Amino acid sequence: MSEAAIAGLGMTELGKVYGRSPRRLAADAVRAAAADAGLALADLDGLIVSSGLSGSPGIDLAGPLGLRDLRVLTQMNSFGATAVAMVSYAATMVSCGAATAVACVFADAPLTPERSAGSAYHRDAPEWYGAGGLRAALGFRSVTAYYALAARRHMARYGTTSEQLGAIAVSTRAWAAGNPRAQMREPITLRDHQESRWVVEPLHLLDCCLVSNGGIALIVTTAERARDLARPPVYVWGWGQGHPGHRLERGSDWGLTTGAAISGPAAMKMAGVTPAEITMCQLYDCYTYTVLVSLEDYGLCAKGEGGPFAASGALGPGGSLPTNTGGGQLSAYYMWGMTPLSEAVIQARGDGGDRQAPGTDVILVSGNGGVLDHHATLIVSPHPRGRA
Amino acid sequence: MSAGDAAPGTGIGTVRRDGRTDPFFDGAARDRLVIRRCEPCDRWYAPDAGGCADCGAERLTWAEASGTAVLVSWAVAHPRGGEPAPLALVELAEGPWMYARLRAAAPPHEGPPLREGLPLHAAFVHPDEGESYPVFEPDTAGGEKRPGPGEHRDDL
Repeated sequence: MSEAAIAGLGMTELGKVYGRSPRRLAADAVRAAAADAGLALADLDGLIVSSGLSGSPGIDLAGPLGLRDLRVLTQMNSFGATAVAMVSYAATMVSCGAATAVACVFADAPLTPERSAGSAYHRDAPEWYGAGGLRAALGFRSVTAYYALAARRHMARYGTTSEQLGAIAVSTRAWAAGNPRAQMREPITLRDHQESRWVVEPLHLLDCCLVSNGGIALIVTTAERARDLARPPVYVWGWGQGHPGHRLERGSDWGLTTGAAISGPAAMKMAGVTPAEITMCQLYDCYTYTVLVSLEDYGLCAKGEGGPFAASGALGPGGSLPTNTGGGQLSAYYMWGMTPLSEAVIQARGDGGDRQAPGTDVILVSGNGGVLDHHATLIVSPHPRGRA
Repeated sequence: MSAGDAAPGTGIGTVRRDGRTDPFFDGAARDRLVIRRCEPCDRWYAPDAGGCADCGAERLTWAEASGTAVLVSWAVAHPRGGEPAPLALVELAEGPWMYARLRAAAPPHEGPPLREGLPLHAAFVHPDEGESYPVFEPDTAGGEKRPGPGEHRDDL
């Protein structure tokens, strides 16, 4: 088996980008990723397309890109875990020789100029149908309600506070200040967090991610080939998935423990590292709470201690575990799992500019889908496996 | 609870039947919490459950639950331009969890401090328009505790 590496990264404009369909954004991202790697589109023999919120392209994307004689072509959906899952699949295919250069792409355009960002992920209707519809009628109108219940459960069980969640919002924004691609770069304070309006209590507005239009693509190839291409290889050391299938019934630890507790150890075992050897995290941060609980489930702090750990300053600039160094989904851009993945590539290459963080040797990338239901973890490094 | 009880908080849309979960609403109209059950497995499920996670059966029966529950977690939705909506994840005495509304659980309402395991019971809202539905309120909130199963069997 060959080692796999990420050789190309392509990003369109991100945020309030109007006038381009998800399909067009996806095609633009793949073209940019191939060019970044120093490859022609004709050099690609694999294409993996992520599902998105709506109108996202499928395998028909190969057509407008003029890709022919592909050996891998599929659409994948693990919700927010899809980006890492795509790279894992691509790495598997190039490692065993089934393909040589695979593009993985996500694109979405839920924002329209006339609607508020929140409405893109919000349900509203004059009438609701059945016992399922009743739930939405009663106020469970967006996924935020479920994350709020999860966060509250953690608070009740472990004494986690809104201020500790706020520390994540503040440190993430501090990183975003150095990212020219970030949608929100103005520094915020804990007080700003506390004074931002409730969305679903205990989650404030500044606990919630952005909504963005755009597209991001990666090129995965063998480490051997990547070394001959245009940019420094980002080596893929290990990956894993975790889908706990929590049953909502007596005895469930729903909301307190996530699939990261399964995907993390699997990825670290493949990579040959322990939690103590992780030097940087790029975590799916649809909400501040997702970061907090993921840190615990990856063993980067003890269960129940995510709050004090976040409040210690460890995650921000100058901290011991730089986390979401581009501003994450909270402050930079919401491209599902491509947000943490793209930042991992940028940091591993040393392309972080003003926000370049130290400690890129072993970077943990985390995807999260559903309501803490689906996790995928990737370990990447600027160094070949075992040579950090 | 009496017919015509005001919904706890505005912003509740009208709820209609969907043909698949009608026994739940029939029960709510009679102040009864009717949920799903897999008889062979002796397991209870929330009213919107699709099948039995144990045996894979897709056909769950409907059965009357006790209406007693404990609080698992809680939240308050703050819709823009609307009143705050107290939300809960409750554990029914029969085991399944259910997403619901909490009554008398958010200021300015009076009630005991919310905590994991807080005893609750179902109460029923009968809006003028649309279907009746259950809400959950703390046992000590002064709410009337509804009769348990076995009582009032005549109206089932």
